[in-house]
Amino acid sequence: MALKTGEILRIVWRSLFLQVPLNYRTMQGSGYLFAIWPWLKKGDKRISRVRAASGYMNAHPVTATLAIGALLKRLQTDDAERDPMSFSLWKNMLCGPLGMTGDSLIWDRWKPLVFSLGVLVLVCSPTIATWWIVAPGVLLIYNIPLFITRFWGIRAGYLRGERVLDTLNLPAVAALPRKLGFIGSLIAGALCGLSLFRADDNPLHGVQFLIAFFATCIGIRKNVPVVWVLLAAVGLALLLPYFGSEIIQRR
Amino acid sequence: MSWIWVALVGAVVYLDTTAIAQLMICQPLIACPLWGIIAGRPEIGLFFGITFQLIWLGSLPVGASKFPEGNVGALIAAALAIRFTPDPISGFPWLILLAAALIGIAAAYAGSEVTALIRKSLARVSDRLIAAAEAGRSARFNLLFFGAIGVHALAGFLLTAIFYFTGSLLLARVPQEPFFDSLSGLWPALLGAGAAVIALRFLRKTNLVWFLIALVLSIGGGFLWL
Repeated sequence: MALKTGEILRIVWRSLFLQVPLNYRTMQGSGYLFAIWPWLKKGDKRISRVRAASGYMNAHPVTATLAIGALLKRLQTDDAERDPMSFSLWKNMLCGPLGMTGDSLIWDRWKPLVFSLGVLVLVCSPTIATWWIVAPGVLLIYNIPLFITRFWGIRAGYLRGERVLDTLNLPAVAALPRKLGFIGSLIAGALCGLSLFRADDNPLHGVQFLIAFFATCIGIRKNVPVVWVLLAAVGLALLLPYFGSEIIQRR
Repeated sequence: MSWIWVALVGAVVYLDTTAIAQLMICQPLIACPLWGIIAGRPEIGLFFGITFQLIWLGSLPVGASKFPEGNVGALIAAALAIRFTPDPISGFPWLILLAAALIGIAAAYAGSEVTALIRKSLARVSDRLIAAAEAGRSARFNLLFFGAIGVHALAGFLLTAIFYFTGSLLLARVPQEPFFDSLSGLWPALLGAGAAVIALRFLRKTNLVWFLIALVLSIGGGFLWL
């Protein structure tokens, strides 16, 4: 039996609070408990179900909805009581694939892509009038697919139960990071080119842009902590052109 | 009393960054210009929104990793710069902007330590939550859960308030006249650092051609524009 739309929406709402009790011992574990608490609190098997639901668990907050759906299904079918050890192993097994898929797809690709697109538009036209269009646009473009994924994740997780990870074998899931990477590289290229022009009509600003750009590239490639890369890149960009022009003037 | 409003917005930004929903209203591109509009200096909000957005897009809030609270840092920087910018002005107060940006970066790194402390302390709350659930005490369960939200909100509030307050004391000593036009390179420098962060995030050997095509086209378009 599948979940009703109202129930899925309720879990989606509660899953938004998944990260509230995030801690270094059980990570999101108690957040999962909160997400499905209305379905667990009644009945005589509450204690064993609560224990099974609240142990260590960690995944990306969006792909975690697959695990929430599957967890609810398996708890309702008494899988946790029948074989607690394999249930716990199954939960641990979900963390890696769901975490990596969410992190690589959403944190590493989707979020930088959408927000750098917003910045690209604002670099072309840095006015508040443009921002009033860009800000809601960026929020909608970013959030609508993620809410659809949350809704789908709970339904698919509940339907597949133990075999929830099969959903990650969909060709679209495997192909998306590469495709988003192509779009992202286009946006990044356009952003670099246009930012260089936006560095103002002062030629010195163009030089400062390039100094900061290459200093940051080198610093990050050499695994220098970002704060030092930033300070060094901005410091060099602000100071070097002046030292350079001083030396040229003296000669 | 402006610090209370900044700290309240800081609490919302902190909550949205990791604890609740992650709708991304916390991102510098959204939060900084919004604060700029509220405080009457949208152009300064936009300055920090664009530059800090690019810079912090490189840091990923993955699992148990420590990451700079760049969103709160950007808000603090924007709020400080707006507070100490004389109105009306003939140009950008570059020295104020540079000092505010540095305070914002310091706040972001202090924030990463605050988040780690909160995650350690929440382990005990998590134990109590589970105990309340096992006992079937729904009201206590909800109370503890919303208490944990309160802990996050308080952390965001205090982090913002402390850095805004100490930043205000420091910026009050920064000369506001003249506008240090020699520091106007701050905009291209921050933009350059941010563009590099984005380029490194997406640039792979397989994507290099696409990146170069877009780069050449945008530079060509820029020449035509000029």
